[in-house]
Amino acid sequence: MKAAVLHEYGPPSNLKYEDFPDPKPGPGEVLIAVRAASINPIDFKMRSGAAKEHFPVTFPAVLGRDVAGLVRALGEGVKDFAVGDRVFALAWGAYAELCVVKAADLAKIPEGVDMTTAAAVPLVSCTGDQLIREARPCSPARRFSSPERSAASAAAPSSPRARSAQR
Amino acid sequence: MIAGVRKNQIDEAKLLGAIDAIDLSSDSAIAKLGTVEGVADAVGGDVAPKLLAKVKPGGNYGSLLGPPKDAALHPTVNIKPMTAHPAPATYVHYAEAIRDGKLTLQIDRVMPLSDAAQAQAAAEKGGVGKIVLTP
Repeated sequence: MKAAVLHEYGPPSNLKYEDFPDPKPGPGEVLIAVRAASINPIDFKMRSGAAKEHFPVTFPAVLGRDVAGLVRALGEGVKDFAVGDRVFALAWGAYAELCVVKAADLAKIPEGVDMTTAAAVPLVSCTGDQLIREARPCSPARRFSSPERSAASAAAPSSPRARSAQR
Repeated sequence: MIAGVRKNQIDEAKLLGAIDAIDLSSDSAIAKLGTVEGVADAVGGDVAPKLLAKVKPGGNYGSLLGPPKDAALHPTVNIKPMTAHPAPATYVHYAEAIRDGKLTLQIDRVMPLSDAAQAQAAAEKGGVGKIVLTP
């Protein structure tokens, strides 16, 4: 397959569009023919090496967390998906023509959602939702139904004025 | 909710529903920020200790990039390092919300996978909206 391959930490130009071995789905995994992959800040922090303390890269590497595409093949034991299903996931190695994802991490794309939009959703939705629900930066009564609306980071105000403005 | 973003993203953050938005690269903007109940940090690095200093005693500091460097100086704040994990029901929920017009997710542009280097360079500059690659 073709992929954007990273051989060492560095600038964007280190991403090389080249041949890379096809990934194979193991037990419980699904092979996806990628139709869209979105870029997230963690991708370029991994590429540059800025995030290597928490997200070290083993080279050569294919970056990319957000994938949308069509199921190409099923690994052993996968029951909930069929070849041809429109699917999306928070994954690894999305900057490629093919991507393997654990079936447990995969979802069918809702009717009426296109591939481009689907590819933009997984990481931002998990990040925002989990950061608000699990780290609880504000009290439950003032949690938002749409935490991913904050583009980068968010602070919940504690002043009464700000509280009333938020209702 | 106050959004902490890049300077060129402030208007967009307000449009999306934040009651206010500040430029995280501006020390004066952070200095003007009052005490906050908590912080949800998806940025980390040098700005983290500055934001941590704004959290009220007993407040929470959730971070996707490990604890802020000087976490030990703020023993009254609950520091919660965490990592986003795959949750299929979550992406379905938000994809449906976007489809139904309840949420906005801006797509900046769609580029070929073969231009991944240029696409990352553009994303790294900090535009507004997502960049999507297509093989």
